[in-house]
Amino acid sequence: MAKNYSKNFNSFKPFDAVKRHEIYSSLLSLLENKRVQSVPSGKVLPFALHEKTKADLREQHGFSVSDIKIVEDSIFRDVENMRGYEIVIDAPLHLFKALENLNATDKLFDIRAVAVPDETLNALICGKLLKTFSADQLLTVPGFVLTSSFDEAGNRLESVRLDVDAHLGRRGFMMPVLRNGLITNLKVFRSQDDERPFILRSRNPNIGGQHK
Amino acid sequence: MISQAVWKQMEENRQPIDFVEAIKNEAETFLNENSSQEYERTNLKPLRAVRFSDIEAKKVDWLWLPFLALGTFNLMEDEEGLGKTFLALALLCAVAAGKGLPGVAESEHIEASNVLIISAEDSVSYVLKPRLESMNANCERIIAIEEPFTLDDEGIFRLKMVLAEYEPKLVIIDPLFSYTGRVNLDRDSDIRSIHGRTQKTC
Repeated sequence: MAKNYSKNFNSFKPFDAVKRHEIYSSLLSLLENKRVQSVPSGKVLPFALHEKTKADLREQHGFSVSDIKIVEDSIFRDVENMRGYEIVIDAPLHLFKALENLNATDKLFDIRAVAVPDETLNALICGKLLKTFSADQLLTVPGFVLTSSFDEAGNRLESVRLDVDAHLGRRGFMMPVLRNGLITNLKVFRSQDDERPFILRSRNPNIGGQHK
Repeated sequence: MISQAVWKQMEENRQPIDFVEAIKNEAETFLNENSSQEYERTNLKPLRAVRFSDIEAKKVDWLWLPFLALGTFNLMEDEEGLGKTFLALALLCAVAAGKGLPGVAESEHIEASNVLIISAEDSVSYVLKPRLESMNANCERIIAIEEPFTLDDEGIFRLKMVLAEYEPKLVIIDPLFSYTGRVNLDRDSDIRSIHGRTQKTC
């Protein structure tokens, strides 16, 4: 049964906070697409760890998503010191341009700002998340929604999606909201000059997702 | 142009995440929200606790061995019309006159003392006074409460003021449940709270 976070914040248990952080962290990792690139040739190593390796670590060695991220980050740190390679992330375009005008693009690292995904990327990302987390787990986190549609044969199809409007993808981006270093919510900015960003909520009234 | 909201969020997100430390902080926040902060917010003091080594054992003083011990709360119950009030009045008369009670040796008779009766059922003038006179009671030492009250915190406090003034050896409440106020008599917890307060007053 879903916990009610909004009415009584004291029910926000450490375990729930960790699970929520892991789901948001995985989502951001997929969207920011952090990778290693060869400087002279431009050859890209898609991920520090292959998806198969990650699955093996989880299933056979009991690694959590956060453990894997710690391993990945340590690999990225090692790569930083290697000559001929650099670390690349997919930054939100308009935020990048605005920071470029200020000569402050280095601020984009570590803040985990990611572009709002369009419908196709949304489906792909949620498909990847569902390989790690169950649909029930995703739906207890604010920002995910169960959508239903019908195929040509009239069969009902249900799928989990990130509940954010795809038209925001043109200029909008998301950033995590942290509490004690754990990601508790995602804040959506409609553009780089948006003064009134909003926090992703759940459509389930029992899951508030209100950040205190 | 970048908004202030974006700058602020970027600054907040710049700290690298130490996952183990984050979980510790989260657990600590959870514990704080549920324990000490709650305690500080309410400004309540902890309950008074005492070691048994610091408690002095006392011998029970009997008013009427083995039925009524001094400083205790006793219930007398039976069907109506069997003479509970008569027995209570007889006890009052005996204690007020210092006569001693049945079965008590003369050496253990207590001296004549004040007694208090709190009666809701019977009229003081029409019922109790004639009965006491018929028993040749020492009415100087028998005190009645005329005002209705309930055995809540305020009522107990006012009762204690009367007890402090007259220092009665015996207090009769007849019947007890006329003074319990709007509590649910079917609920054990409600009755226990009344008994607890009354017992403490004794």
